[in-house]
Amino acid sequence: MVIIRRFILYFILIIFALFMLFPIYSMVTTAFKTMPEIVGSRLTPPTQLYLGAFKEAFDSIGRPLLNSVIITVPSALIGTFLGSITGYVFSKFRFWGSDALFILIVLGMYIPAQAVLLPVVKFSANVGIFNTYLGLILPMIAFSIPSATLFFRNFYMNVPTEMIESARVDGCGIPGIYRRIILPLSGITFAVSVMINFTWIWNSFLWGLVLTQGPAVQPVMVAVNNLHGTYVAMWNVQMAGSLMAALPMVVIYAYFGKYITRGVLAQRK
Amino acid sequence: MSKVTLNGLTKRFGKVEAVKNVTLKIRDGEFVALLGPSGCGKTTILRCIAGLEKPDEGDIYIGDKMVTRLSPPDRNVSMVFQSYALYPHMTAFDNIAFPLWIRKRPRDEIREKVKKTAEILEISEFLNRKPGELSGGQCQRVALGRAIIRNPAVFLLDEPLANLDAKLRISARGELKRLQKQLGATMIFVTHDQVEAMTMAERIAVMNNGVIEQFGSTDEIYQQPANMFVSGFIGTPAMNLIKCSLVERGGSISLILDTNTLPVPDSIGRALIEKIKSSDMVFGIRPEDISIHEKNKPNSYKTKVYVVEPLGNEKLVTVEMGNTYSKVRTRLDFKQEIGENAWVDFDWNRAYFFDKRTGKVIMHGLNKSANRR
Repeated sequence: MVIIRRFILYFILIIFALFMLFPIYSMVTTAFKTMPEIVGSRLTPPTQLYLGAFKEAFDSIGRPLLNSVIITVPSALIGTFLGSITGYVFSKFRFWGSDALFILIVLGMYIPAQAVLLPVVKFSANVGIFNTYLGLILPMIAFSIPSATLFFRNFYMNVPTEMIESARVDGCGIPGIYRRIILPLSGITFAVSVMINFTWIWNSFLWGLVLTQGPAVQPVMVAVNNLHGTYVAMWNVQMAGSLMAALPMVVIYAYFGKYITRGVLAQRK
Repeated sequence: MSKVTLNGLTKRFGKVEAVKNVTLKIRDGEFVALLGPSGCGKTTILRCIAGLEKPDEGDIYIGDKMVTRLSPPDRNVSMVFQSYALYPHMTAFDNIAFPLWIRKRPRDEIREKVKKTAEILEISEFLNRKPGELSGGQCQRVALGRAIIRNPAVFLLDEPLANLDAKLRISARGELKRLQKQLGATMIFVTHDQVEAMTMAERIAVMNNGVIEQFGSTDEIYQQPANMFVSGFIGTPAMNLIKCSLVERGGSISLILDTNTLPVPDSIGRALIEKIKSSDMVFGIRPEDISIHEKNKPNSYKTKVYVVEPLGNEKLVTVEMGNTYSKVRTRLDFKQEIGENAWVDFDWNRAYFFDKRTGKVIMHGLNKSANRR
């Protein structure tokens, strides 16, 4: 009975896993095939390792890959840093309107990008940062603050208030307490928040699409989409591009995945 | 070192008045305990002195300087928290050095002072460890070190011994008292443990419901409690408080407890009658001031043994007198067991009488024989 139940359970899980894994299989195999091979049989593994598609894709998305790094790294770091400051203040200090302000900030998480798309594009054009790195970095920072604030506030709620008060009596001001006590205590939380921000900013397609024009500033997700040719679909080039675009995320998660698990567990405590 | 004065201090949290119009004068270099049950406002007073809470009314003076509106760093006080509030990412050394480090003192001076402080507290060998690697007692010393290194005007300690285990607490009590003498510091500590307050403090402020019921030396608090609350809070076990009424019948004066009559010595009875407005009162007597006998004796009062608790060097007997229960401290060879009869008589010179309505003391036998003990 137990074995049959196990069997059914695993059968269902394997089906779901296949749903997830098959596109990845398809992406990897297609990337290493030549076009005639793809037309011949879509699902068989490649007969030889053909790297031409990677070279061709890299010619188009090399620059956008760099753009993505230039945009994502500072946005993820600064967004996390600002979120930790606001999280600290909202968790440890009460002031007039602090609750209302906190709710307003967190509400920012629920505003769909589409709702503010036009105003942001218009604003960015008006202040002259449209199609610049800054034009993407600033909105990315702004959009990462709400979730980072909530994340850090929940973490700092568990930091004993007596510790903050003790530092105050010892002569430390509010910024000093942040720098000397709060920040050194939030290492893992910081790493987790940076990764979460990194992921969504790196993968954000819509903002890159509407806030940039042409490959000079364009992030990689938009460039990958453009690999899709106008007259012929170069599947291998497109898959090779997707693979390269996804690789940084895969590497980061492989290295830091355990911190994410630990960080999320720490939040639960 | 400075004196501390609270003038009509009131603190409200929403509609709750945590501290009500408290006035307290603490002398320079004095060791004072704020004692009371939880929620009586003692910690709130401490936090007001530290500047962590803003009082709604009243003023706080440290020395001759009014500090009511100053922020905590400008008050020159240091505080030891119940949880010690050590910084977990810093070593014991850095924790102790923290207040000087904030004040940007030279490195050599910091090292010198931390070394000296560690010597006083005997924690020199743990300075490189982080709080997670220290025992409760060691953490407490590090927290004390962080407080004394600055040489502040006033030390504030919030339940400093509450997180120690029972054995360590007793030794820490003595150590803390010695430390206070050694530093000659003004120290104010909060505790709910009356033994802790009596053993350490020079003067105790007994608090209840946001007001100070009595402020005085250990002896005063114990021998001359101002009211029923203080008498019931101090002493282990606390004073027996028995509701009764006073009657004069045929020239002799007695207390009526429920249906039982207890004759009172004439001198005390007469003095009492002169002072009371209503015959209803509360009779108070400490467990050590009741004698208990296996057999009937003249002027003794018949009771039933409710429970006997041997303590090794003495026995604690609870006796049933009508509907009230009283604790009696007696010698080990007291033989009666639960349910058996026993006879008690009272040391009337050490009896207390309280107004039933206000709880205030009407008189106590000590008025006549203050030098008996």
